[in-house]
Amino acid sequence: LTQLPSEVQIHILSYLRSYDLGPVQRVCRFYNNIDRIHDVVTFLVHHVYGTEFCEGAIEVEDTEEVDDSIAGINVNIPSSSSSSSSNTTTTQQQCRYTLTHLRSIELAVVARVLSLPEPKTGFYVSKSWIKKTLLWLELEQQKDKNANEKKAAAAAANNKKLSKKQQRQKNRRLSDVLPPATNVNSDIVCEHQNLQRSGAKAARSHRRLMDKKSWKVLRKLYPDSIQLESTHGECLQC
Amino acid sequence: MDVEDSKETAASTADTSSSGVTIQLISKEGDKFPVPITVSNMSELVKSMMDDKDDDDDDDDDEDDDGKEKITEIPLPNVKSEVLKKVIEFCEHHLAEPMTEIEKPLKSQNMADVVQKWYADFVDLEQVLLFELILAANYMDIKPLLDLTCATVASMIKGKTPDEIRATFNITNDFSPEEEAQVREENKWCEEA
Repeated sequence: LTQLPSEVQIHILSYLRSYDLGPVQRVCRFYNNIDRIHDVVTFLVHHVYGTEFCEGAIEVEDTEEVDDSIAGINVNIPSSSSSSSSNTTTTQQQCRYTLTHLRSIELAVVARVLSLPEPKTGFYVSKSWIKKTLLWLELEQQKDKNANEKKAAAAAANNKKLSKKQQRQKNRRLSDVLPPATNVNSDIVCEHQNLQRSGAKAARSHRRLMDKKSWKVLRKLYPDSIQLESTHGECLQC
Repeated sequence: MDVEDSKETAASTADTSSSGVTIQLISKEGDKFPVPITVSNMSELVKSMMDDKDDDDDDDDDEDDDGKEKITEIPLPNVKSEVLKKVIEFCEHHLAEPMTEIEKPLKSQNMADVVQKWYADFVDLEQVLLFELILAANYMDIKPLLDLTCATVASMIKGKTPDEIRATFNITNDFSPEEEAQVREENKWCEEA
């Protein structure tokens, strides 16, 4: 596998999500190469998720989080040019994406898609799924923040005891929320795999529409979802 | 009706004349594989080689001195006969039943869930042959075949642990214990998923 040319490597890895690329990075030094990871993430941003949905996440990464993650990677790469730790290499590496960035991008893409105003036509998504997902996304971002705080707290020995206690409490709270299901509309689908029948009021509280572009992005990340087009209406068999 | 019929006949004649041209693809071993031009044109490499040949032969017609139809030979020294046979099989089927686009990221580890059954069965191969097919698709510049084979390798990675990936592809873990711990820490969020 590692003998394949680099353009083919990117092609293969671009079929995977951050959760599957994480284990790949841990396979061997070849896959822990910062340039390769950066190229794959850049490809996914431009050709899969679309820069318009990633923009917010990219700005954050570039200005705030890159330094921390890159510091970790500098240690990870044993035989790369980073070992020379010259000023030029450090500057070059500061705009390198990591898989942590890709994960943030994936989360940001979902958050952005879900916060768009409801169009008049499109594809149905369960409102309870959206609610759970937004809560999970918020807590994931909180987790990331906590991780950074933990690093800072470890450096400041005075606050160590208090931070540990706080951390435990936070972890307990976070552990109650499960990652969103891979089907975004299972609870609004009937036994015939169509849109469930419901009164106008109930419909408003149970489901909302997404535009085609957002639906496409959402379906990439939650592939088990059933396509429910608004023009098809509710299930006729029901 | 007659007008319709004559239109149809003209169309089918035009079709035959364009697909009637045969190209001889020559493998690394020197074996010759005659294919219709429609099949060989799926390879951007072969297509551009044909264009170059056409430019060179501008003044000639398509017949040699004996009046026989000239068969263009395209040498593919990087592709073994066994692999070229598979490449041609893919191209021929793609013309009859075009492959649906494989969505990124992959939604399943099972190729039959992401592409038509014929294509999923087609890439159910020994790993060595699969990698050779990837290299051939990359060299011959056949995008759908490269998509299919690369997605197949990705499906073999999807959902696996680092140890399972190493075992599947026979990769040696060359990390020092410290490096391994460092990468693991960096991607801890993967384990929480």
